[in-house]
Amino acid sequence: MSNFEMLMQGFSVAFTFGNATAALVGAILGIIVGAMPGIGAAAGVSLLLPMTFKMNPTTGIIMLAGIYYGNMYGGAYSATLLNIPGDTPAVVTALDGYQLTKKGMAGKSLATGNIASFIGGSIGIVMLTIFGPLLAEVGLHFGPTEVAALIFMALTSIGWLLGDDPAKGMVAAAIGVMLSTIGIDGASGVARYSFGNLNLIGGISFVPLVIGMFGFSQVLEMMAAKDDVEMGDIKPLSIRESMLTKAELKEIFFPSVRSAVLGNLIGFLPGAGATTGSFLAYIMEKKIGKKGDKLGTGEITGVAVSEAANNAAAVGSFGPLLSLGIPGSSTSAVLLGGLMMWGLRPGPLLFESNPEFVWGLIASMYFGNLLCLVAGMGMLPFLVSFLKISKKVLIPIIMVICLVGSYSVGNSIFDMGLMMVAGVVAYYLKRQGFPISPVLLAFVLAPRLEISMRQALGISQGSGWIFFQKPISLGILLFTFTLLLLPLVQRVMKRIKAKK
Amino acid sequence: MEIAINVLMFLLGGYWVQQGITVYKFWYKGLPGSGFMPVLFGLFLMALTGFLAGIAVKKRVLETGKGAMVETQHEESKKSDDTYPSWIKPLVPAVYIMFAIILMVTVGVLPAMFLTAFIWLVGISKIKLVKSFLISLIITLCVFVVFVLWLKIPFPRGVFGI
Repeated sequence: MSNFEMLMQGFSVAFTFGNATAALVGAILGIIVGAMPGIGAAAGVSLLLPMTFKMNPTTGIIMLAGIYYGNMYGGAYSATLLNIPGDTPAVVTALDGYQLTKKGMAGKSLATGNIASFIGGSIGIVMLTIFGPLLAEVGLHFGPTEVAALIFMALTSIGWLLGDDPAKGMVAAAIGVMLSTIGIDGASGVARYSFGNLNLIGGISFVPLVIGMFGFSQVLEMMAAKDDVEMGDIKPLSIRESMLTKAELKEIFFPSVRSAVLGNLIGFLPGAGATTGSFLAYIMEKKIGKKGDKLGTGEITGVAVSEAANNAAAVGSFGPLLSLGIPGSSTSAVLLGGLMMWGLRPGPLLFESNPEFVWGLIASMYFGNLLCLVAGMGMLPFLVSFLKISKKVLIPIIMVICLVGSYSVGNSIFDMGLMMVAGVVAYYLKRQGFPISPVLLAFVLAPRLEISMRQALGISQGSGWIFFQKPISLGILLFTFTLLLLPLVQRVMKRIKAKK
Repeated sequence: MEIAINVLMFLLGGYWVQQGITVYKFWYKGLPGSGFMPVLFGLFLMALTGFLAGIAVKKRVLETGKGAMVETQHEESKKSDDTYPSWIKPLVPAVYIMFAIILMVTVGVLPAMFLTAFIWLVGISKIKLVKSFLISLIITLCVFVVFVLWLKIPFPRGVFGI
């Protein structure tokens, strides 16, 4: 069957009452969570993950995906109105969005964000529909050697792409790998690093870990932050005043399209994510856009490129996730963990073994993206009130969700303690500039890396040369080493320039 | 703090390497053993944290020397973030969570979640009694509907049996 026919079948799955409702609920929750400053997509998806366990996997993942891309829509609200991005991808949105608010054009900025998000999301979904299955076909030719090289690349690019300090990113990735080695070794049946604790023999539970790292650590951050954000005099927004004129729509259309294409390509790269996508799109627009020199002074184009790119990148991250089983961002790593708990193994075979799941999810994105646009525009006047929820109220709410959420998966008190410890450790690591996303991405990817490496070394009877003898793995490894050396070369070049 | 974190992680890496080699075996019968991956990444972590700790120590030495005189305002403010009350304050929710876990085991999930939210709202957030009561009630209701009724999670029932 062709992709188009599969997609049509996917629509029949996506349009069942349960799945359509899940997409709607996910989209609305995502927008609300995204609009609240400082929570973010990964935390939002982590906190809501336990609520989806009793759903069937397709419905569950449709809802979680809705939360993810809904979050990208919502991130623009606090960025525009308060100059505080709801999530890191919205950092770029704040540059022009807040300036527009100062000019009394907050409604226009938010409407631009919504429309550009829709354009970005739509382009991303079309590209996912076309390239997702192609990527899966390529993945089918991968043996353990290629898979190990690919995961190795994902781990190292996580390290250097996230955060200001590449070394700290790699430390975080190493911690994630080491945490994943706790528990029974799948190959030999030996229980490793369990410290005699029965709860650790099965390994560290994913859900409490992720809720702690992203949800509870957020509570600690809120606690550390001094005061609530001053709301100032945000005027109520009306849909009519926020609507864009034809000229404005024309102005943002092409920049949104090219940013979406770039953002989507970035989203396909492991570890790059929506934040990198929106930054690069903004830089590109500054260089080639008609109003490039005016970006940052309150231009709707600035909001449009950022929002289009981060939505396209968010959707793009589903590409490697579904096709190769490699998450493109921390949020998709959370989704990968969820998929594995439902007994699904994302990777090249998923398109063949569970087509109704994959195509149902992709089809739901078309529908969900439209829902986000409608909900985002419809909720424009009301979302401001969500921004007004004080962190004094948010802290106990998130704490309660963290507690019951971490308990509910394994019905274990130990898991609640694990969540608490993970949150505290994540908080102090973040405080010292260590990014947390690589820990999670590595934790999720490491078991496959270990199995693939050991299988490859088994085939070669212990010779590491096997990784350099196969052309694909050699190519991936060369690319990875280039990525690793890049920051070093840049540093050396800077020093030489400074000496001159 | 930065030095302490790097040293701690260096030691953690060392433990992973030691256990990987001596207990789980790095290489076994000509093939990678259970300790293969832990040793590789343990060594990697040791190398990186050793490097980062070295940089942090060098920075500290420079700061305590003449360089401290020309410290920028930004660095000053960053430094003040590492003061005792600043890094200890975020631990309040962690201690509170432990209290909530004990409460959950002894009195059951619903009263525990109500009290967890209510005590925080009144005692720490300083929100008015009636408002705190209503917010806590809504949170408890949500927990009941989603986790108890819908997801049917077998939470500890505690002394009240609820």
